[in-house]
Amino acid sequence: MNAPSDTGLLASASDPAARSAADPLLTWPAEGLARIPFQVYNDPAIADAEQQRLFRGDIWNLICLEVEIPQPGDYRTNVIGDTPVVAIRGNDGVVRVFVNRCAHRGSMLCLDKSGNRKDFTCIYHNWVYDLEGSLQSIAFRRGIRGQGGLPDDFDPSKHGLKQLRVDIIGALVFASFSETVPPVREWLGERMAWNVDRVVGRPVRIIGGYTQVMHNNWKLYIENVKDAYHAGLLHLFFTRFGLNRLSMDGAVEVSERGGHHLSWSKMHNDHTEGTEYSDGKLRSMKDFDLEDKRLLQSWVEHEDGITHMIQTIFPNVIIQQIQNSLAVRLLVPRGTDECELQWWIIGYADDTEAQMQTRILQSNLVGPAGLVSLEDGVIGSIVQRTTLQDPDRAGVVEMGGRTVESQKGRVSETGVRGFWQEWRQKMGV
Amino acid sequence: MPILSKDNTHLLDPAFQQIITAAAALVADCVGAVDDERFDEWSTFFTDDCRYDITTREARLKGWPIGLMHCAGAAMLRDRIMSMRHANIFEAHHYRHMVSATRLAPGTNRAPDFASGVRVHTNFGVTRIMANGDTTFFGSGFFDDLIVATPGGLRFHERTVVLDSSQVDTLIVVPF
Ligand code: FES
Ligand SMILES: [Fe+2]
Repeated sequence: MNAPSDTGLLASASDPAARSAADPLLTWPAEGLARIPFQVYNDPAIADAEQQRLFRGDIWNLICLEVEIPQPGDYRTNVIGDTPVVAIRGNDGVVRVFVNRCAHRGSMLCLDKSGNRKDFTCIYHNWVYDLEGSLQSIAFRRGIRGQGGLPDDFDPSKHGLKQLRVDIIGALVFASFSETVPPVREWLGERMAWNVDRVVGRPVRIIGGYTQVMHNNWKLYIENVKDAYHAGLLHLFFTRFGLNRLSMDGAVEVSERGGHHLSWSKMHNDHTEGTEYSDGKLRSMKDFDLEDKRLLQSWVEHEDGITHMIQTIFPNVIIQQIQNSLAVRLLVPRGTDECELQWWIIGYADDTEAQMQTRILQSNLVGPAGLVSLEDGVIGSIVQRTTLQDPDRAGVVEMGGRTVESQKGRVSETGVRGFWQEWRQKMGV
Repeated sequence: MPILSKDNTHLLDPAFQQIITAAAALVADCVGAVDDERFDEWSTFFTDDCRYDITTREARLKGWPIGLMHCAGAAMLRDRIMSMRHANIFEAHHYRHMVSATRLAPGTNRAPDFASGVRVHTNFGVTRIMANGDTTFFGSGFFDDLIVATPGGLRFHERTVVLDSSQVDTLIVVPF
């Protein structure tokens, strides 16, 4: 196999957003991680810089679940930031990820979300690449009757598809533009990899999927997921039925660089006495009751007794265990003020019929129509609108202190600060 | 009991027409209740042991058991309405449905009869109108309904709302 090389479309990726020293991309407030300047949600130059410094930088990007491409030739398209990519299983069984773009003039190669193919034949001028990304044939390479065609010294081996690094952990296929980021397991660290193994470390089955479009900068949604503080307050459904209250045993854990996090709780260890919950002061304790409680039936899926576990993998992947509702989510920016959240709803290959029925009922809790989580689809846009004209104002993030570290209890924004710590490091601001 | 022909002649059979017209009226009344926000009435269009799902074309093609919403029984429909009114936080909005003519579901090979259930399809488009007037086309798809006769009149025993797109804007809290 030739080492597929890029045709120069990506090479010398100059940083379009680099501003002069006198005009830096962003000046972070003096308070440090205790503030989030509103500019990060609205500035097109920052959104551009994220494409190069973040999504094409030293991180791993989730592309798909490996079960989506079981056979040689099976492919699944997606995007890394704004860049279309395709994951495909070769005839040798190896999963490769390519930029989904012909090396001739840039036409997209795979237009469908998924499928199976013997090779990559470009629809525009019929150049053909094998599943390893090498250019195999060029229509009319020698021209017709001596007229036209490519120069004799044209070297097809220099015009393969742009191939990315690939690493697979559990069910998840990751790819990276970076030659230097360590392998996924190492990049995650031991504790974060532990939960990936815990949720998707055995054969999974995809049992649902959809995309949720939100009218806010992608980082407002990621902050929301990392904000353990809001979960027991904004979402009444959770608190009223004791699914996830801030008074339960739990913790927020952040990774060493700050960007990955775990937030977990154990619903069978709740202590509301002497909290604002038991005073009945909070909106989220307002009385109401379900007629049919089957939605709340669950079994304790893990010996560790953790019934609610949300993990983020920096910068834009979420692994969800809400009782027996399991999902993987990928957040993709669409400019400064829109983003899409791709959901894979999963179960395990060896689920019993009864377990599957429980997962189906609990699926009502999550997603765009989720009784628990539908608020998360709109809260970001409610914030976004207020930040537009005040780029130099800032959000306050001091719950649980002003620094980044794992904390017992979840009345904390440490996960949010952790995200911004790693984001600033990657973005150089 | 109407006969079902291969050459469309049953369309002229008054007994057949009566069934289709009744089914279409039920579909129209139910979306009317949603659009007018008469949500207490909504669950009364369904049998007590009904099944109501919102899913997508893609999920149906892939055979995924999970869509966007799943209610097993009218009590869960009422719980959805209660949650919408008393628990969920969202920006005020309402829907307006545009529905097509109601047709017998493809593959129906028995003469339709409400005693044993009539399966019909009806296309819809839905606009979502926010409190400030912003109006967007929220989605299109079809209702896949099984309608049965009960002592209380015609009811939906099964309703699957099949959305054409797998992409949902922001959230779904008002039922379709
Ligand atoms: S762009 Fe693909 S063959 Fe020309
Ligand atoms: Fe939330």
